[in-house]
Amino acid sequence: MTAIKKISQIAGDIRAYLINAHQKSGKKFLGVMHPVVPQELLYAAGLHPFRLFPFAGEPITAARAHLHVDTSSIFRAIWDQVLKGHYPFMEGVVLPESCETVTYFARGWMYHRPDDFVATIAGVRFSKTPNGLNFFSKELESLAGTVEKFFGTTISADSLSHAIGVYNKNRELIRAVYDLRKSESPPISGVDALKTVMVSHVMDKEENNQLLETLLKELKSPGERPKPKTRLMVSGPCITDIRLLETLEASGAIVVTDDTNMGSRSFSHTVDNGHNQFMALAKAYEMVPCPFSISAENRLAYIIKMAAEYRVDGLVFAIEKACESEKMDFPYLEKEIRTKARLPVTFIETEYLCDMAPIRTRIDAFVESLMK
Amino acid sequence: MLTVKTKRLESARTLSAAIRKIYQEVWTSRPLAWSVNSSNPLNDISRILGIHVAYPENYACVCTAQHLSGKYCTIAEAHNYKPELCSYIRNNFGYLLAKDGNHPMGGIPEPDVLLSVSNGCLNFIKWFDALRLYFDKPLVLLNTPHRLFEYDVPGYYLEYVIKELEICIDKLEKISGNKLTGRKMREAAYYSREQGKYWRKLLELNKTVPAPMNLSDLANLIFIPTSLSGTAFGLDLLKEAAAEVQQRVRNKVGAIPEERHRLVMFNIPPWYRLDFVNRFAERGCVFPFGDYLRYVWCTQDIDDSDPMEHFARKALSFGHNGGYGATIAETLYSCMGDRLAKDIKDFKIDGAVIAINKSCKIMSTGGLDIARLIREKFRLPVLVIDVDQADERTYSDAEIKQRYDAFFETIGEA
Ligand code: SF4
Ligand code: SF4
Repeated sequence: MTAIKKISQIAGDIRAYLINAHQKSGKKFLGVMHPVVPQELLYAAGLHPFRLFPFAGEPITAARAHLHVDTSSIFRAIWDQVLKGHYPFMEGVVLPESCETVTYFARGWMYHRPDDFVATIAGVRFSKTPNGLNFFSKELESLAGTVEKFFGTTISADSLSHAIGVYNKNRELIRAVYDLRKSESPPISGVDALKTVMVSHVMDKEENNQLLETLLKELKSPGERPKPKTRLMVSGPCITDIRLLETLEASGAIVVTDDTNMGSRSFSHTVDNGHNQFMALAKAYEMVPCPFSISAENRLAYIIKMAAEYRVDGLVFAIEKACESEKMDFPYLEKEIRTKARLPVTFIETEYLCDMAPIRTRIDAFVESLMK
Repeated sequence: MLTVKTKRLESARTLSAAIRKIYQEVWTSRPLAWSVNSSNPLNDISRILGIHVAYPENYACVCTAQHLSGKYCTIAEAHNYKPELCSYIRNNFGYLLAKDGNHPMGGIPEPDVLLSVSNGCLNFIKWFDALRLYFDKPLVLLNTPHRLFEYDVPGYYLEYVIKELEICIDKLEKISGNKLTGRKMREAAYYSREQGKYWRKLLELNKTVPAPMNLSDLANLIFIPTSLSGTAFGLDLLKEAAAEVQQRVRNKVGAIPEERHRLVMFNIPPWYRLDFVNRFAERGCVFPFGDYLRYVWCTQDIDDSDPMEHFARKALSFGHNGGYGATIAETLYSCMGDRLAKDIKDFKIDGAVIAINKSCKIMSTGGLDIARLIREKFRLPVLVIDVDQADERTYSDAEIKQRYDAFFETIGEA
């Protein structure tokens, strides 16, 4: 089976994959929200961290009793599926200080599931002083201590160094996949790229590294690749809905890169694997370009640089309805990207299980305007 | 037509006059900062340095009370500030982007500096970052990390915030051209601590039957510890209020004529329908406290012998967390244990009104769980309403009236 087929197969039923992986590995699985959690610490503790996102296609019902409709539908869907027992393999979560819903519901998670391991980590928001870095490093050390205590395990310098190496390799491989998309005829569609990152978020990282290496070989092998008519970039928070990428690409465009929590924001950093490991992790993770962590101006620089590198023709902001931090940056980013980068921009609002028909109409019109 | 009115405190009138004066003074006061209504030591310190402070959040309430927030929100939305953003923010940008220049109390002048703190909602940072870009003025931000699940402030949190505070002070000194003196800092810390004491004293007095104050009084008075923190002037206003309330207690004067029910209110009230307390008063219902008045501000006494530590601790632990203080992020869930049980007993609460507020996720997350807890554990009637605190366009009088009526029927006040 080709690597991309294997990725598609896993992405087709992530839940089944996780259940199976849990049975095989015998490890303890921990759910994690957002790219700002250094999963290396959990991996080094012998745990299997995976990124939480809702499995597709299940209407939100049970979570309605706890989370009101104006909170993030992505997180509500996750919570809904937790309540329905869809994560039997999960021992707990790390919910960082991040977006509103995740930050304020950490305590709610604990309230409803007192037996779960629930940890949070504070962030150094915006104000990236050396003092802040020092604080964040201590916060990570404290998280490591909490993990060790709860799971009765030790995070040694060696195991952490190994974990950092594995995660650095993983990020490097994904970046290599992204790099291939810079070419005139990208060898991988946006849909397959999203599947690739989703799978990397749940798989054991060492296993995933092997899969990514095979994928890279396949993508680099010569073959007929049509030149796309339009190259799009997507910016938004936790984009986990394959249908969205399918809709974008059904318009004849190809998504060549992204600025999303699942995508490039998760892979843009490298951790220095030297002596002061907590400090190295803090340095790498404090600059993860999420809107709850860095300023709109820094985000603008990140987006504009990426759009130029990937020779993007248009930018689609696809923002979850309740995602206030993304929405707060939008007016500024939209204006600056139009005027400074002279890049056409469109906005679509998404929600877990949202109707794709109006999005399709909007995207078709946008892509058409780009082709003129 | 409402006939029953809450008997307003005289000291609330003094406060209203003081607020009006503050809004007038900001037009002739430079440098001027815009800041957040939070436990923000930068406000106290700026005032010592001669920087005047105005609050767009509070100004949004003023606009809302005058039914202008809908207009401002519409303007902001036309400029890409999406309807899901907090209505205070939309109000603020709508006000800035409005062309007619006809604003309540004359508006608030442009700032020279922006002050924020991250111990409240995420918007405190994002909104003020957006304002920084809008005005091209410096933002002085005190990052105060949210700490969950731990009772006391960990040493490295305190150390971090004290150092950040020093960095902020350095910036503020440069902006103001003044130097911070130890004496002034000690005074501010003293006033800040004393204000906290008086605030808690006021709440204690409201355990009395009949309650001497209603929710509207408390909502007015909270302006002092949030916006005049660290000032002698604010402390005097609180003392005056406490003396008046004490007098009411002595004379058994209640805030409403016939108190038959004592309700707790969760979340921010809809500022455009402040007569809602009177609707309840008509049915014999008084609100002796509300969550954001009891669990969010001045919940503990913080030593002021080291002023920097006082302010750092205050920023880190102004909310309730099992009696130890916390940032606001865990307020609702953490009050659900013994604290709420004790307050229900001490304030003799016999029902609850819980607002789910589309704008304020921080105050709404946990609201549904609180509703269930109060119904199931305390067996008290609960009214849950969906209201935005400042976007009047989302409010339906007819729908809310139906919900009120159903609740009044439940408590035998149909
Ligand atoms: S989509 Fe936004 S609000 Fe929802 S979980 Fe992700 S970051 Fe948070
Ligand atoms: S979200 Fe809530 S706390 Fe934040 S600015 Fe709005 S009303 Fe205030």
